This record gives sequence, structure tokens and C-alpha cells, in this order.
Amino acid sequence: MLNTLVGQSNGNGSGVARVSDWTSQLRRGVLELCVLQMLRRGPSYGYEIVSTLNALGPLSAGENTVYPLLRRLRADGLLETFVRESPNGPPRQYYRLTAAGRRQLAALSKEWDAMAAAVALCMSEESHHEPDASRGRSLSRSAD
Amino acid sequence: MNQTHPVVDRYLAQLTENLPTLSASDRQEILHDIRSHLAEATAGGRSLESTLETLGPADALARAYSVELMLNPRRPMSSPVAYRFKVAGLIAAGSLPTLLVVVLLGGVGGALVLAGLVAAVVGVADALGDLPSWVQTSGMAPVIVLSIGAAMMLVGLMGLFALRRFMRFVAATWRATLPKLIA
Repeated sequence: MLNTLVGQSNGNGSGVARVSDWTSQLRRGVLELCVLQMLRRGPSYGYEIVSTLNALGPLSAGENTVYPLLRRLRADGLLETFVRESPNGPPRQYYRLTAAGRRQLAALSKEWDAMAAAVALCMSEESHHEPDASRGRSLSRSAD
Repeated sequence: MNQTHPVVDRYLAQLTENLPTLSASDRQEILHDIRSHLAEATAGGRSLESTLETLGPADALARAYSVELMLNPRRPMSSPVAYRFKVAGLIAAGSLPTLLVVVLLGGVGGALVLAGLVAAVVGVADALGDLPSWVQTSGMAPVIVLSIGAAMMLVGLMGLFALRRFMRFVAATWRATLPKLIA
């Protein structure tokens, strides 16, 4: 499956579009984890969250993704808001983690570690060169 | 720096228009986010035009909000049935103190008022000298019987008054919370 994805990306212009689609889907899932993690260090407001993410290259999702995501996390009870004065105009609306948000962050971090380890295993050199039997074994282990 | 630029106003108005299904407070917080975003960005030296451009058209942003909030509906705290049970339990638990207060204040207050009235009448009748022979005042002076009756009535009335206050408080609380529980 990884090979087919790489094959598409090496193709023509439509292949490039597929890669950016793939990247934005990948980011969509990870973004929630990153926003929660960012807020673990302390409350933050929309513009700061957006700017921090924008500085993170592949995670730069654009305002029109981050602001709706913040609202959804708020609706889910993972974040709560409060208002504090700003030197730059209207008062800032800060977001901070709720207890449920902390639990969600812990669960997502665990998932992410498992996922990252599995992907690393998939991508490692020896898994490409090993015989079929052992590859099947390592993949089934990572799927557990 | 509290600018209300007509372009910003138009953008926010368009955003509001395209978020009709949200609650007023949700919509208000969204507008708050976007308004401060524009203020922070322009205060940081970005032009309003480029800031609005990266935000994208207002209707597209509104769609992004709707999609995000619709595709990921609020996680219900529990199933509807469990929720109903919780509400019923809350009402039952809340009713218990009400029951106690009503019985105590109503019963004791009412009894004191009645007994005080009787004592006062007895006191007055004793003072006028035509107390029936079957009424005993244990040799107390009519003035004392009268004032004991008056004091009992006063305490009873205070109890009934407190009961009225309590019932009003309960009614106001219900009016405030019942629509939220049902909604």
C-alpha cells in the first residue's frame, strides 16, 4: 500500500495533487493531538495557536482549519474558554484544557506513539528486504 | 486599536449569516475568535487584506465551522435513557428538602398561628371576665395569656412567610433550570 502511494506521487500532476490531499488528511488527525499538546503547557488564544502551528511547516493547517477545530474541541468539552484583555485590540478569547481534554490528550499521545512506532517499522529498511514470511509477522504484530 | 473597519464588519456579518444553526453563544464566541484574529494580525503588521485573504471567504469559513461541528457532533454525556434517569433522580433528590421544609414550616407555622389565635381569644375572654368554666389558664394573668398567644402567632406567621419565600425561590429555580434540562 505504501508502494502504491509512492508510485502515485512519482507520476504526473494529478499524483502531486493526491500527495497534498494525503498530507492534509494526515494532518487533520494529528492536528487535534498537537493543539491539545500545545494547550497542556498553558492557556492560549486563537492567533497564538495559529501562529505556532504555521511555524511548524507540515502542520501549518491554515486559520480556516484551526479555528473550527478549536470550536469542535470546545463543543466536545475538551477545551474551555475564558476572556482576558489584550494590548492589541479586543479582549482575547483563551482556550485551556479541561479534565476531559487532559484525558483525551493522554489517550491520543498513546495512540500516536503506537502509530509512529508501527509506521517506523513499516518504513525501516530491513522490513523491505526481509522475506515475505517475516514481513507478514512484523506487520501483524504492529497491527495488534 | 479597536477598529471597526467596514470590511471587517461586512466579513463578520457574512460569517454570522452563514452560521444559522449554531446557538447564539457559540456564534458569539466564533465571532470573538475571528475579530481578535484580525486585530492581532493587523497589530502585528499584517495588512487587513492579506489577513482576510488567508482566512478565506466568509461563507467558506462558515462552511468549515459547520462541517467540523456537524461531522463531529457533541459527544453525549450518556445515553438519552440514562440522561432521563439522571434528571428524574435530580428532581427526586431536589424534592426531598422541599418536602421537609414545606412540612416543617407549613405544619409548625400553621399550628402556631392557630394555637396563638386560640390563646389570644382565651386571654381576651379572661380579661373580660366571661371565661367558660371548662377553660383552664393555670392561674396565669389574662395579659400573659394574651401575649403568649400573640407571640405564638407571630412566630407562626414568620414560619409561613419563610415558606412563601422558599416556594418562590423554588419556582424561580425551576423556571430557570427546567427548560435547560428538557432542551
